[in-house]
Amino acid sequence: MRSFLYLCFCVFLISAFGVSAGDAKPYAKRIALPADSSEGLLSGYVKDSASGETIIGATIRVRSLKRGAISNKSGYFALYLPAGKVLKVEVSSLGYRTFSKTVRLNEGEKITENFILSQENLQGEEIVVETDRSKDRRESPQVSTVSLKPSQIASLPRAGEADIFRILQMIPGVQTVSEISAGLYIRGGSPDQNLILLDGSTLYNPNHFFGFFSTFNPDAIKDVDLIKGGFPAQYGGRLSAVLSVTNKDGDLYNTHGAVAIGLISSRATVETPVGNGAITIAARRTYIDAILNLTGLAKSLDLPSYYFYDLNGKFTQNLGDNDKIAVSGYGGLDKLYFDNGSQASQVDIRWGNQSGSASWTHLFSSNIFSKFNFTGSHYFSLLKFGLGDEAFTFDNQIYDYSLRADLEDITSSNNTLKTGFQLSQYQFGLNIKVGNNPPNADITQKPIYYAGYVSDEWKPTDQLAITPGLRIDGISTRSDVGIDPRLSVRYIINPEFTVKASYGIYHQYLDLASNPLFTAFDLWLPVDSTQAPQTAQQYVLGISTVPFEDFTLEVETYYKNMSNVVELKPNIITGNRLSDVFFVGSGYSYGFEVFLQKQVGDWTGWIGYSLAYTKRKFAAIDNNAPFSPTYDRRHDLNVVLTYRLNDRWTVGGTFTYATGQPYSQTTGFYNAGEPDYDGKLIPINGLKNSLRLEPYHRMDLSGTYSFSLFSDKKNAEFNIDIYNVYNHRNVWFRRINTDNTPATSENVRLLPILPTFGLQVKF
Amino acid sequence: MKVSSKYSVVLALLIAAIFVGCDGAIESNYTPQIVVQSFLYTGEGIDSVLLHYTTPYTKSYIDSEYAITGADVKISVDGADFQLLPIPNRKGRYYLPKSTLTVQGGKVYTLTVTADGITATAQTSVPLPIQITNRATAFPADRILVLDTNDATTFTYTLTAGPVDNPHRLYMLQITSIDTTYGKIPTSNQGPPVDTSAYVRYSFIQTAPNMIIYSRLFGWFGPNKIKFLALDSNWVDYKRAVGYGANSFSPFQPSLNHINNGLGIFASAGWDSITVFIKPK
Repeated sequence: MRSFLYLCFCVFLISAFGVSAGDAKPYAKRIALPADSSEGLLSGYVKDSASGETIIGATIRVRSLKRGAISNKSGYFALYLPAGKVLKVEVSSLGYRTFSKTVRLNEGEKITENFILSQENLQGEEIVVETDRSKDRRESPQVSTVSLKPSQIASLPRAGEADIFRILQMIPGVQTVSEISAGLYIRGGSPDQNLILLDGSTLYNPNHFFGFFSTFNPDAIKDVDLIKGGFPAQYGGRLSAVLSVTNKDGDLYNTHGAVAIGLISSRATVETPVGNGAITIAARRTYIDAILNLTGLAKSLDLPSYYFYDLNGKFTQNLGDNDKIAVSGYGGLDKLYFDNGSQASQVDIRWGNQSGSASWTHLFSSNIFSKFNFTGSHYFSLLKFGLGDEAFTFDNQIYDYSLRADLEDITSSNNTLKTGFQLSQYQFGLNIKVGNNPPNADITQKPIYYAGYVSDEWKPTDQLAITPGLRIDGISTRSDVGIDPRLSVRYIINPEFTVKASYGIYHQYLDLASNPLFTAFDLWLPVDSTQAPQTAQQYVLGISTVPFEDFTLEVETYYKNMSNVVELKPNIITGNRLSDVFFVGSGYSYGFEVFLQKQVGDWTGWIGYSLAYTKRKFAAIDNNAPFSPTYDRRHDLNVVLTYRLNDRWTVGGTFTYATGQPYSQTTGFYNAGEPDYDGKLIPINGLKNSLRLEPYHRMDLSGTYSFSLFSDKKNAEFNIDIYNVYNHRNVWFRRINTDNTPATSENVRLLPILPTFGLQVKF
Repeated sequence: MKVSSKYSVVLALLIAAIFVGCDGAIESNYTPQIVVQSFLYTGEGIDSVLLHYTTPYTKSYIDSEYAITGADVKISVDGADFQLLPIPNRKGRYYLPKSTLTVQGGKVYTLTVTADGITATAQTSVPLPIQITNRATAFPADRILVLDTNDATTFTYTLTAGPVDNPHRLYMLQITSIDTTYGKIPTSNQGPPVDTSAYVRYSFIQTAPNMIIYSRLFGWFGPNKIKFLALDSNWVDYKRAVGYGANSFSPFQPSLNHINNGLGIFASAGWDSITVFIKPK
């Protein structure tokens, strides 16, 4: 199987350097899948007129030919067009005015044309038509994809902070266990089964504030792509989904920034042109600790000190027409500390991520786009607290150094080859200690993950697109290799109705142990000789259509079976092998999702509904009887609306209804005491998660007022948000109170109505 | 495809989904399990093995109601089996006099309980005996300790024991009021003891056999017996699971259990004791 990886590497090199050596000649003459020689090639970048920032996912279309392309993560596109014809090319992207231009290519000619899109009405060649990005998504062969722009993130209600995870949780198929958990449970998968990338760097626990917020600063984000299932061969190492977040490159023309003050934290962003590129820096910090100290509450109520911060930076340089480099970094820390002088009640918890990436984007020729990415990522969680007179210490660290290379070869108007490889050097460390005793667990592993992939998007007709792919990967701690075939098919029945299907096998080499109620103390470990990698097969079938003008409707159904999934053993972790930490079992999930969306006009938003079934089975739990994991929600309905009242006011609202989460029924209890001391009653649970809490529902509202502050432009926004408008305190979990006789159960509830406000000023 | 028919299919699917998506809850049945509480001490007989059944969730725990009577209880050591006897008038308690079996450090004891066709077993590896090594100097010569409240800062003394049979051994103190007629010690402003009526209190676990004796360990005036315990690993796990499980950050779960086919504790300790007199100021 390693020969396949070698083959991928060879394909990569041949595709890249074989062409670059003689770029003066038409590429089509030298490869097996030649472009039609009667064609020319139009390529370039799509950019924002105000900042020069490249635009991801813009559509470049020639309507008369029913032919088009979508700009990639770097904003680049290449489109073969018939020679000798005058053609009108339209370029569009959500939130921008559609730009059109006539072009005429000669036989074999390659034209580089950077299209500049404007958010303002401009004179000249532009036509004033707002675009609908869902149309681009409808025509893409990729299933189950959702894209978000910063403007969408900013316009929706927030609980103190705008947050992309909160918005993603409103998408059908994305579940959560509680409103204070930002973990994404996608189509029956747990959060560890999602690959989360920030500018190509893997993040392992992208959460702040015990999971209440994600680590992504909304001011620094340029684009968010979520693939809920059936993801292509270029992604791997996870079973369920891919979330790819791209940070802004920065303004190429002007220096500007923004300052936002909120109830929980403040943010600041600065962008400025540097050389042939730009630099962006964004920072955010909470001041909960400062408020508690200033008001004296920390001392009078014995409250712990808590804060989080994060810092994003990105530096880009265009090195001529064919090369661009980018260096980006992220650092974030959460810290909770409590010390009242007694070791028995001392708590010190820290967790965070640091990541950095250096990427080189290179055009080997107009139709061959490549990206080389070297990334480093460090995740740590340190938990220290008093257990009586002993100190308990939990220390988990992950270092991930990865080299990725991706190559996209647009070989003809109906064929795009993608290939690449990844090499990752991990270092995992886990140390659990009580007092001065020898560690209960002391695990250090330095495995190497390797992967290679190849996929081909082939469009035999205007309606049909077929994308077969193959990914092969493995980890050095095991001798077996994952062979992951992928296939997706798209068929456009008519311009308003598209059918898509996808199949794939997926392998995962890292396991996560975490408490689903808090997404803070995550423990990641690589598979070893005692435990095989998690494996899934995914089947997705969907339609995408236009039921009414400006509306799109997507309906998808999926089935996913999983093997070697893990469940944390309930006792303290003792041992140095993965089988000491986890139970190993199997699972499946299937469901049906409806996503009705409106992206243009004064009213925008969506209605999402999902019906989902998720089960897990473990020999050690209820004798292999299937049970629903905590995040299994049978019904999940989300309504998200934004209305632009006038030039100054925008209002928004969200409503969520979901089936109650499963919990285990307490069937009895026993007295646990010590000699001559009664001790306390310990509950005994029956079948795991066999009952459900009451249904979850909540409504949030928001209003945003735009105004001018020391400027003749509307450069400031004041937002007021009301979280949980009708004050329905949802159930977090169920607690058994054995202090009562007989014992009673009570629902521990979540947040009441919570108004928050914030101010943002741009300069 | 006509638009209307297209969407009626989607609508029909949606309605069908809502109905098929209703699945019922599965109630779990209560199954009684044997609960064991037994602690062995070096140099002692087996004074009591407590046996109960678990209590159904809807019922109150009443010692006598769930005590297991008529159980077959055996202790095995060095290949020999010893049948335990029920303690007269104390339901669910079983014992073995010291004259029949004296618990010895360094040996492994196996408990087997059979009741109503259910058999539960457990093992403990008994620590070696310990002795308090600063008996003469740890306290004032008359061993009278004076305090007005149980404020932690009123007094502190250090009690040391040995030998250390295992570098990983953990230790604990048991403080027993021998005569509660002397009255309760007033609580200090550092908070009342939780077990206001209990006449036995336990310290936290310590990693070395040097225990700080401070005033908050005492609940009652009068004579108090300080038992210095060297714990086996079962007791340590039990203490962590049951005692510390209430800490929301604790990774220890109450399910940390060493009884096969049952619940509870079968543990042992090496020990020594010293008695002091707590006198009101």
